[in-house]
Amino acid sequence: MGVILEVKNLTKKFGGLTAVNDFSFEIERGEFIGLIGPNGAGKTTVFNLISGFEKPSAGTIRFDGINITGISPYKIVNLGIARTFQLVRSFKYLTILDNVSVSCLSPRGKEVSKDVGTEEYASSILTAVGLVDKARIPPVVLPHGDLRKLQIGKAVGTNPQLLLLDEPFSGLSYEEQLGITDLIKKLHDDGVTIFITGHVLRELMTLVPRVLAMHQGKLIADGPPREVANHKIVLEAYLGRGEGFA
Amino acid sequence: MQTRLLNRIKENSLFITCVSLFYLILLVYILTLLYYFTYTSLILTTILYFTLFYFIFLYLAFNFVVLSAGVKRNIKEVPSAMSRLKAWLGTFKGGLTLVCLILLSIIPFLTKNRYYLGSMFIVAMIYTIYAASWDFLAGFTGQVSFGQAAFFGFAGYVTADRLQIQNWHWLPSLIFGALMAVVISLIIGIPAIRLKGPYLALGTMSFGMILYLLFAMPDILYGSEGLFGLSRLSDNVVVEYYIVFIFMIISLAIMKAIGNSKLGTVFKSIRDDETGAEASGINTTKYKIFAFMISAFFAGIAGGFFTMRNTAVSAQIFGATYSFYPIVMVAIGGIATISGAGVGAFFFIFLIEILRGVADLAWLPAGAVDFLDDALIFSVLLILVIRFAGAGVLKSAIERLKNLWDILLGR
Repeated sequence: MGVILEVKNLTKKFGGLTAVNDFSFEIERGEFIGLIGPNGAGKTTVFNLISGFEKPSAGTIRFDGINITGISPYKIVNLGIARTFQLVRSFKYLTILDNVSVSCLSPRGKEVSKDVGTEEYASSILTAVGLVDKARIPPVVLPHGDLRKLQIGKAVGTNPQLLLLDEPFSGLSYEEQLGITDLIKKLHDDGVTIFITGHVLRELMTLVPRVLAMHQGKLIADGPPREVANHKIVLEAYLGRGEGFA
Repeated sequence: MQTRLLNRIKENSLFITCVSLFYLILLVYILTLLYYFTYTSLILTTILYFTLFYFIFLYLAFNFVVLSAGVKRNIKEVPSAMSRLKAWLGTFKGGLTLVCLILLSIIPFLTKNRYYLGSMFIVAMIYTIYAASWDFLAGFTGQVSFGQAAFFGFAGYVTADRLQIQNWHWLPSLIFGALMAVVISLIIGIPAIRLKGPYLALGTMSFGMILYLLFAMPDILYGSEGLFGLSRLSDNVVVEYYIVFIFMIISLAIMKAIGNSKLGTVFKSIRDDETGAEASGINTTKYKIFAFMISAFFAGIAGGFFTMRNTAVSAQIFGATYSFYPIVMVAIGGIATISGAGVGAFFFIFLIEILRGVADLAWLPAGAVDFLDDALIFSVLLILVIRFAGAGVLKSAIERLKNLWDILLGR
């Protein structure tokens, strides 16, 4: 299959605080991976580093063989990595259709959308995420779950090979989570490599076959969910060190 | 269609009678005043013309709206540009814009003996282009510039130079001036990429000041007096009026068209969420600079016309005042509307004239006239607009007129 993302010794320091510490892992093409860790572990920072929104203090990131360490975010997007954000963001004064159209107007998005036309292509994405009947209204009226779907739609518009989803389940009701799960599974079936973070563990652990666990910037476990969930250090990270529990 | 309209009129007859009576009485009142005061004082004449203009346009808009009820309104997407234009004209905003443009086009005939008043319209149209250029930059890409005068003034100087020293015809001088303004925009825009919000405002403002100081220096760059005695756009002020009028329509149409296009969508995405735009694969740097260039071009066109209108240019044109003009005008008219620039420009120019007339009254000290012109008017207007009509006057006024129209047509 081939390695699509190779991260070596990734480190990010903010002044005295080391947010990401000597983080190394590999992702194969077509994999479905989760990244877990308590709040403040550094998950979003890892995503920011991979997607170019932060420059690493040390370490390298290779995507599909290309060294993408520290290059501009839009260039990374046009190479094939798309991401969503933990705090949902949208283009407030554009319609939902236009929100997705912007991604289709990126160089990479234009490659796929120019045959059918930007509007049709964006509409088809909205249909895939289930928002097409709200195409002409602004995002402000959407409930949280739909906003997350919109984010995913915007990311899909750039035709990514690797999709980084930052906490796609947080703040969602159970039904909304199921909707997102279906969407993500569909994308994975279409061949997109998916890398999710979260700390809503129930959904995540049943969804992905492989999980990376992170604590205070360090990678502490890498393996199937059941194994990682029972890992001593992971439990300590989430539950703390205890004396004399059962 | 016509019978339905007549039915609506019968049903709403009371309302319509009241509204029509109101406008009729107002019209009679104004015409009476006109008759008595016409050759007495400029300030009153100005007020009356302005009010008359305003109410005629409202009244005609009403009538045009009634007439256009017979025009088929095509809501679906229409491919051809001509039919899209016709469809737009059938809408409320389109019809209103058309009425305003028709009125503007006959102003030269209405102001045949009033040279000063006629020239005020030319100045207002020039400022419309200038304000629209600022609105393009701030309203569509979210880059709020406090140094628009840099483009305005630089193009003014270049145009003047080409006209007087190189003896070019006005058209190539104007275009060349605007293109030079684009060059300036690259000089400002590239360092300004990383600046946002108040920092961008300060950065652009300081650039304006730098140009002011440069051009005010005595021995370089035309000296502290600048250039004067330039040839006019045309010997006939009516010709000048129509040239500026046509350029205004073309400039605003282009800016509006860009705003509605896919390029406009990308610009607006940068305005709404720059990080999100980056995450969508957009090279925000490239587009921000591009927006600067387009904005500078049209500000340069306005600057060229301004210089030719005044037949002179000096370092004053880079002053903070000229940077504030478009901001206040767009604030009044409505940001991100392009046409709001026109509303704000006309309102502001005529208001300044009226207040200048007021300040002529004996009881104000001598220096007050200048002070009244600039700082006080800006500040008061801006405060009023922000407090009472944050999105600008244009949108709420159009909303109100539209509601009136909907009542009339029974929606």
